[in-house]
Amino acid sequence: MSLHAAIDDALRLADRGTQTSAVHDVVRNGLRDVAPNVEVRTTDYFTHTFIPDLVLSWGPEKRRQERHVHLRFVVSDEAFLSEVDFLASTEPMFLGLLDTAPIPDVSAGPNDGTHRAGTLVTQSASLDALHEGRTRDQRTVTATREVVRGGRGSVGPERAARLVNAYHDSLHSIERLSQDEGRAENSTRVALSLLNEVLHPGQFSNVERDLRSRWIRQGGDPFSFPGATDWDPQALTHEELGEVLNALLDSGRPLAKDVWSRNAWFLSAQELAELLDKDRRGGALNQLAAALLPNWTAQWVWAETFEFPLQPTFDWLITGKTLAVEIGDMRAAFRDDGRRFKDKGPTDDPLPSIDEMEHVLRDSNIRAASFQTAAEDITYSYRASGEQSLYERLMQIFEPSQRHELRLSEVHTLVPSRDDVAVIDLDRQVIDLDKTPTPVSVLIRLAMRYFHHADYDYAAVEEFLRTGKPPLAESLPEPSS
Amino acid sequence: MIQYSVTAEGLHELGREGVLLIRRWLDSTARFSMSHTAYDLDSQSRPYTQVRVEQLNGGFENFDLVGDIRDERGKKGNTIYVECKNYTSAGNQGVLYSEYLATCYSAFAAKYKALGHPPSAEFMWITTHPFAQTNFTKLTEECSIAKACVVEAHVARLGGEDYNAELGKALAARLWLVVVNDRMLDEMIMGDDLRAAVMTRMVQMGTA
Repeated sequence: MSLHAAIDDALRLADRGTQTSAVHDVVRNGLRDVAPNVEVRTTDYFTHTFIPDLVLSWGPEKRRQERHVHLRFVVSDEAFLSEVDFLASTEPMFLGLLDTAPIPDVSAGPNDGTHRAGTLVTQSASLDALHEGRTRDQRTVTATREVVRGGRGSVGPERAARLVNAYHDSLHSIERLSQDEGRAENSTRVALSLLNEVLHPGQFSNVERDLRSRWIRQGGDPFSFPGATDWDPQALTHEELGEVLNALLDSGRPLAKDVWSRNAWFLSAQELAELLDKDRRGGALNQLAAALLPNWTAQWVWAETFEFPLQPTFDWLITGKTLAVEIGDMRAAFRDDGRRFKDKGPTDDPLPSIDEMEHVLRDSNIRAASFQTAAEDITYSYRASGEQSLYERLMQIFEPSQRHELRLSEVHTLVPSRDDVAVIDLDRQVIDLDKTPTPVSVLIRLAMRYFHHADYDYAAVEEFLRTGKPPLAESLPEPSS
Repeated sequence: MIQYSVTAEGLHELGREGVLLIRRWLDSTARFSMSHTAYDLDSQSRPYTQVRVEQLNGGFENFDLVGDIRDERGKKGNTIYVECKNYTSAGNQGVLYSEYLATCYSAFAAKYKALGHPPSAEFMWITTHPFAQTNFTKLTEECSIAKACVVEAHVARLGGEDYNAELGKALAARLWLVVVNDRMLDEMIMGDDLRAAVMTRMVQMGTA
């Protein structure tokens, strides 16, 4: 039964109290149908001059929004417009119960219509048209809900039907975005134009965002979406941008590198991981990372080493809102804020001896190193001096047996190609850049030097970082520990 | 401003816009809440039965407005039927008012007969101009009702039943007579902010 027919039945009840309750129940159900998640509360007033029949509310507790619904027998004559003017400051919804005559244009009111700008005048038959659209395609509820929350102007049944039909066209053409982007662009432009006329800016942006995210989930570049305003990813909240980037990552379509760089170039590695807000690994994330890696810096690295994988691993991942890269048996996580890494305990792996780290200690970038004895738990620290590398100095200080016994626990090294010093804690596998933002690409190489056990083809690693494509397994040498 | 429309019968009806202004004024007192007007039509383009009262003779009469009287805390009480008149002079209101009293009595008695006790109904005559000034204070007394019911043109409304003075007294206590003018209707209405505050308070009190 249509809402219009149900209201007609309810209005036939002779007792005024019963009639009021019945009409309120029917209208409440009708509104809930096209606007789920909107709380609908009835009052015990019926068609009162200023007390609403129903109160709609939605949103989180601290930012709860309300809209009053005033039921009216007549919404199609000039006398009704004085009622609109009387209540327009509250931006309410007027709902004509059985009146199906054309609604006058409420936008042509006092002050060039601005006084009535937030008022919606509609009819039960219009809600039936919205209901029909929602029944035909459940996804249309995004549009119908926003009409209830923030519709404005006169929305008769024909206009309501045009809105849902245009929304359907847009949804269906976006589904076929990869086949006919031009059609999707046209139908979406038409739908948004119609909705822009009848929605408050806030509600319109909700609908626009819904269509845009569908567009993005189909692999469409947000910059080519025919929105009412130019796409500016920097103007979005982190939550909104997170939705966009997650949708692009989940689209399943290969995207051009510049799609990522245009939409997320301004995000740090940590910001990106936090706004994506869910664990994910590889696939499109590798493509995104390849595009954005030149922009990323971090101040802390935490490395983990695993068993040698059966298959060589080359993946970017987000875990616990932290960006990380997994290459072979090493995972390195990057952050600007090291608090996350503070509680990381010492690794179970034994610390390497001086002999085992010869290749590192010969590096002229090493400024100092600390060693521990296994038995006495005493720490020795040495600095490089003059032209002599630290390793050469250690050769002079320690006997071969000591070089085998002493374990390297900490290294202070110049960051390659930079003047900054990184402190590398080999026990906790943490690199501290002393609050100096350092390119993530540099940090990956640094972490691999200290924490990567397998001897992989570094050219393959460079290729992965540049393209986001894992090298083919057969092209890689066998790892050796 | 009230927009007037005089019907073919010359009953000086206010028209829908004028009735809506009266209604707005009544609603704004918060002691009345009107729900139906005679201009609200059902799907067969007829006024709703809620504005209609049955007479002792089986006939029906429509009022311009119907709604509830509310107590100090906004709780619903008696139903009130309102007749709105537009005059720029006293005119023939005295005659029409007499007919109105007979109509009210007949409706009140018919409901009393059906229920076995006085009905929860009250009646209000709202006019834009005073009338019967020499007798004005008696217009809502039982004697005026009794007089109206014996006027030859009104007797038929009683459907052959005798006038009951006790019932007339009960009705007299439920008659309202109000003279309004444009200024009352325009300037005795709360502004947006005050109205919003009243509405919020009424919601808090659980009456809205």
